[in-house]
Amino acid sequence: MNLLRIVGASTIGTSHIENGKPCQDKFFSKKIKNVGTISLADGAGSCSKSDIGAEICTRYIVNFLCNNFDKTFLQSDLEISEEILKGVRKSLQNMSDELNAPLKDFSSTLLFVAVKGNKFLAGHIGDGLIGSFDESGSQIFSPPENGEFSNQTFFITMNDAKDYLRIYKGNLNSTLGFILMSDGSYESLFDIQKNELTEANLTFFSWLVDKKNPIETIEKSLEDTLVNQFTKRTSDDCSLILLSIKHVDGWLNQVKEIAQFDKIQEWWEKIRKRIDLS
Amino acid sequence: MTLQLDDSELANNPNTRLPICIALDTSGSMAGTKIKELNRGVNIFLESILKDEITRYSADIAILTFGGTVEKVLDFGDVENMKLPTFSAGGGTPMGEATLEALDMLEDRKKQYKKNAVTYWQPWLVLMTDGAATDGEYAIPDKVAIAAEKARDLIKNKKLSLFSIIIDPGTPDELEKFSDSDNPEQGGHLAPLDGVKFEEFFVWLSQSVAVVSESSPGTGFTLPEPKSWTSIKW
Repeated sequence: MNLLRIVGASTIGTSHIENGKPCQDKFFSKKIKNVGTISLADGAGSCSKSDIGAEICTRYIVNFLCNNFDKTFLQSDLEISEEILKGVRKSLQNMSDELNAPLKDFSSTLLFVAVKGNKFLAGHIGDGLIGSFDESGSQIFSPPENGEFSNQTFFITMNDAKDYLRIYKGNLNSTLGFILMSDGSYESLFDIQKNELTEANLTFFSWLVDKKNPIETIEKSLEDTLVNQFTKRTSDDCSLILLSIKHVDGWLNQVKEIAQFDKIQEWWEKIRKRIDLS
Repeated sequence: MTLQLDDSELANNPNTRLPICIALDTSGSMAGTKIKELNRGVNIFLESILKDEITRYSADIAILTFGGTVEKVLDFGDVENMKLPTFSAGGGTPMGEATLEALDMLEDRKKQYKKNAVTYWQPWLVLMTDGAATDGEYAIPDKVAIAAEKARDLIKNKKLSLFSIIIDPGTPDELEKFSDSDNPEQGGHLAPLDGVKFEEFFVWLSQSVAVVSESSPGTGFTLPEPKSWTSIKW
């Protein structure tokens, strides 16, 4: 059994504030039926409804994989890619019809990771980066894919998206977690010249695996870091989402872990608040 | 309580660069007010680029002059350390040779970016001239034709933005060879400079550089209207 913790944060870029654009980075996650899924999408800056597109993509993929992990895992990479693209596009097309806007207006990248038991299933189209963690540190799991120039990338709405949606699946083995980041966060979390993830990735991950840190505290700390430190390095939106996986064997250990993680803490917080109030 | 991250744990990646090569006509016909205003305009441009915290680190500028011979007066990466000489007018107009050299410099710069993992925007070439090239159709080889074909090819493949500026009296027919007249929006811009509005042109150029430097990769950008220095629209 896996015990999963998830935390994410995002902030709008200064160039978007100046141009009156919304934050076009979106992230979403869900833990259901032993499946944990995280997703992140960066809406195309030149497309007027890409923030809506990014929101739809992140929600679709999380719900799809939480409900269809086992079946999807058994398919070939090509089948998975086609099925995901078909579903995402249908959801985007529905919104496109509703708002009477071309599908291209909803363009975004997409990054996702789903885990269940000892298995993972991940996908990535466009820029941004997926990193993974194990005992030895952090690694690049899926690098960004850009065109020749810095203003070119690949979006889920492209006709040839199938050629650019990279699917990964396999056994988790020693993997302890993942991080998804948009290209704005990449400027702070990836050292381009050394071609490696920066120390900050491990620090964020250590915040997440430390059970003493409530999720709300980590969330607030990530937001502060994005606003105060990441935006000094880019004018783009910044977002990231982390997933930590703790493999626990034996029912007694599982009960202990769950209790320590969530239930007891929640229960204690409620009690404490009542005592404070009285 | 919040958790703190030390700034040293984050990357300090180089800014996305915008390589710009400016090729300036300093031939004999530029003597007088034109060369004086050109000198003033270029200096205003460089001051403006250096003053802005973002363009200072993203604009990568080189300047060539062509007056008798082609001279590299400012190489890429030197803008902060080198004082620009005052240009003087004299000699013929080897525009073809200057353009070929500018295109080679931009190509070499791109190779350096790639080698050092520096991201970059599509390069810009700014070409300013007031007269017929002396290495054009009456010369052997016709370097203007060779340069024009190379530029058109790059523009067509979205690997170059060209700004051809005609200084009075100018030879629009010659500069038109550098742009694909069927697709004027593809990146080959041609416009006459009103009078000696060099200052206005270079202010516009620095504003345009700022627009690109401050935009996010993937967001696209719209350059400011050039109405301060030209009567035409593009």
